[in-house]
Amino acid sequence: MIPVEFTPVSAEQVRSEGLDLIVAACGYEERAVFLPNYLGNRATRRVRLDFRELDDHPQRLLNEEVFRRLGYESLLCSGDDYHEAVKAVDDLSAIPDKRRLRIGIDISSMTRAWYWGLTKRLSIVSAKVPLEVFFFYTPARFSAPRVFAGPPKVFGPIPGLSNSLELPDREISLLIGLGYESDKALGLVEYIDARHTWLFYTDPAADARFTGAVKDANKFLFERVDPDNVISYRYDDLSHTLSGLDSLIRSLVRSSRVLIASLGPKPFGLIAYLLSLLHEEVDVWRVSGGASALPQKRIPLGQIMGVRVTFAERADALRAMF
Amino acid sequence: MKESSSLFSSFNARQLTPEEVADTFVAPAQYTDLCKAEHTLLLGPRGSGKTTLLKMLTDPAIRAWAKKTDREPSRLPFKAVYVPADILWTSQLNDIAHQGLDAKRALALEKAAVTTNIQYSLVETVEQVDETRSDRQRESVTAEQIAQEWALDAFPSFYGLRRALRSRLSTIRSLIAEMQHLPEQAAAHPDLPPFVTTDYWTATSVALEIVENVYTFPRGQRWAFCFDELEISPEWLRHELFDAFRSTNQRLLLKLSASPLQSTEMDHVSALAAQEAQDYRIVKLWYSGPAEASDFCHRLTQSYLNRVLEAPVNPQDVLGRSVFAQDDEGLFGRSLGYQPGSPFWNALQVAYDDDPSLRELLTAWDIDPSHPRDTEESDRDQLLRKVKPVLMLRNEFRVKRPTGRIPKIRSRKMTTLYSGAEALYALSDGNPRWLIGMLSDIEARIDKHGRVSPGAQAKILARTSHRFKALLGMLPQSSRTVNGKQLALVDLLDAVGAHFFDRIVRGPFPVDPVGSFIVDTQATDALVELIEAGVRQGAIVRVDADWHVVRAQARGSRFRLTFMLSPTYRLPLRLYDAVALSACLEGRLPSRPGSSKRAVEITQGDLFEPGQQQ
Repeated sequence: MIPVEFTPVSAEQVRSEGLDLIVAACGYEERAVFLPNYLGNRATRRVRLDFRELDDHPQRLLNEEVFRRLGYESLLCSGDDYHEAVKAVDDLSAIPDKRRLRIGIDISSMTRAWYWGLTKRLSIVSAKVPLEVFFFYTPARFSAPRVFAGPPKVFGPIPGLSNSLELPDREISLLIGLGYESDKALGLVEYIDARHTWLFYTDPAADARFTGAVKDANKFLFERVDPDNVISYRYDDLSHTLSGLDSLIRSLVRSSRVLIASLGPKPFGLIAYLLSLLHEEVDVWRVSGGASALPQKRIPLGQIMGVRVTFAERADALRAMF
Repeated sequence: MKESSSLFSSFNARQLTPEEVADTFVAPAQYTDLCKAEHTLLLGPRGSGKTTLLKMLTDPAIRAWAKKTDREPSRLPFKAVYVPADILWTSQLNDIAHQGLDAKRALALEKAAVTTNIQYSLVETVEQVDETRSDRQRESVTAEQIAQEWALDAFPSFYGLRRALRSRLSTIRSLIAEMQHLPEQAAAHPDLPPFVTTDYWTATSVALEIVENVYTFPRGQRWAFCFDELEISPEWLRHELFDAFRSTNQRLLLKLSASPLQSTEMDHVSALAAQEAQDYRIVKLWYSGPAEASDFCHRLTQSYLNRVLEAPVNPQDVLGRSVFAQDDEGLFGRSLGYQPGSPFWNALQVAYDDDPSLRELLTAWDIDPSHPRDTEESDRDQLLRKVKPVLMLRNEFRVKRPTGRIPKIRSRKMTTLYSGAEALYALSDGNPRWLIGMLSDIEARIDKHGRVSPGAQAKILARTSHRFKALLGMLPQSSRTVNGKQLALVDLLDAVGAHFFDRIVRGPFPVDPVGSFIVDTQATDALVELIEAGVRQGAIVRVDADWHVVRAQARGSRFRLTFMLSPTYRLPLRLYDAVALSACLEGRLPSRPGSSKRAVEITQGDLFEPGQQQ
């Protein structure tokens, strides 16, 4: 199944209409409980994914308390592995029959493995159970990047979540959603040896300091990449980002394989993964220090961004287009 | 449009057509060996030109090169089939095993995808053969027969075959998706389509018979399958191809390219070699010292600058000479530059006054620093040759101190020591991608007289060196956890670089400086893996006594840091004597956050098994 609709939605509207299931992550970030607190009991079933790592972090203990008070079931998972996390959406048939189930996923504090895994699983599940999926994201206040982040442990797809298989005869176009950790993107560019590179960064960002930090951390790349290939996107207009990225991909896949690497904010990662489900020629990678990377403060700014996604059979989607 | 977004990939043959590769090709000495009718294992770190060399075996590249150099195309004793691979393709192959399928089916589908890639490459090669003959009738007959043998529903043309093979890959992808979406249905119908079990040797052999028959090739036509990037290919494929070295089919040759392999892999290859009395050749694309690569670097630089300046130039006229290389034998003759007023003479006077240990050394050898030209005895002459690069370096970085005081080190941000043609060649370590990457930056600094100032060169070379080190810190597989503590490749390089600097610059003047290391036999697996990762990236270079033999084991082998890192660690551009790795690391490894989240120090005990170290 492929994503066929991607529309902005307000958290307020979702709260008023309710959900059948909400899945959120419980880790060391303060923002982890922001959306759950806002939704309260407006989701019939509430599941939290508890990080197996750093389970003694003081903020984690506070978050657990909030989730318990809100009536969330616990599912203990490793941040690097999505196989446990996707169990949160495995028994949807148990939810009383409706025309379409409404599932909420709060990606704010999730690892890419979790929200990509959940997205793929929901795309498969939606073949049997019609779904409306609501993805939420709570932007956080700027906090400086880790002083010593260490070499990235992971460069590549999340095992089992790649949707592409393309002969290596054509060149690679590399699209990077930039983050603010110094030279991470440069390492990726060198590793991939792509002939063409596009850089994406948020401007304006939810916290303006983030944009400056991204430019500083990637100064060398900004100098080397063709300015026409450096693209800024608004943090709060995901539909526009998705359609811009989709257009670019449609032109690139005619002559190249496309690889999107998500190093920056999670909404870009979500868009990248949805597009990889839509386009078979597109693969998505992450660059990360692994789940055991040192914790960082993520204090919510007070906003919630939401998008509604539906899936359909590829053939049906194509028929609908013509 | 800029195409050099990375540090060095402004020139990366993987993304170029054979004709584009030929356009800038300068043949290293190893190319001749590669062209022989024998199995070849081409080894070299990233950027060392493996893909270029493999592509330069194909017909279109040979034709384009001949046209450019105004010569008859070389007649190789085989037709080359270039089989591409890259990290994205490999990651997608690897991912099939993680898609939740039954392991046997997943492997079968992965093999089918690899076979499809080989078939596709063969069709492209045959298409290139046909291009020179322009015979549509033969194309149609060949394509139709191949399509039948490979069970492809294809229009009878080479384009039709390629389209059908792309569709086949799409079918493989769909099969995977179906098994994920409808596992019950997949279990009920366990048979995969017959093409999934097609063996690539059988498929290509049959196709080659058709091609040879239709195009009336002479009997005994040889075909060389050139597999690129073998180190990232699936393990089963690597082993099958190494085993195929033992093949008795004289018509099919293998040209395999890989980064210097891990010890375990080399053990496998070495075992084969022992069994089969070395019926393959190892061709290495790295160099023990700067002199070995200088001829190739000189020709490549000359070709680059000729193209840029649109006139024949001598790189030394554009870049000047390097203080490190002026006394080199071989390419640049024996011009020591001892005469009064020469840079070396000046440096010798300064050092004689400021550096008591040098003074003692020269006195002991009966050398008068004011009249070094009077030094006639060959061993004293030899000493001065050895002294020169170290002396230049010590003068640059040591601060004058009263006798008996610990020398202070000057923190120069920029030194022009690393400038000049020979310094550029040495820094590149014979790696064409690095050399062209630096030349593309230097190109912009050529003045109206057709020269680049030492300061501008030094800035570019130092910046490239620093960026290279930064890059090494950001590559995957560049760290290991030992006893719960994280050790990064750059930590290792920093420790070794600092040790050499201290021995060469900070300590007493060394007659026999150290500048390479031998990995202790007690080195732990984690340490060896990190060294091997450094070798694959070109950060660490094997120093081999015998050009045609590659030691399988890192333990007991000799290595040096790439000269690309010399400006970063302020080291000479020379190969010097070896010291045990354990001695380099003693007390120089950093503290890193460990599993307890507290900073912990990595000790010798973490990196070397108990026992007597070398």
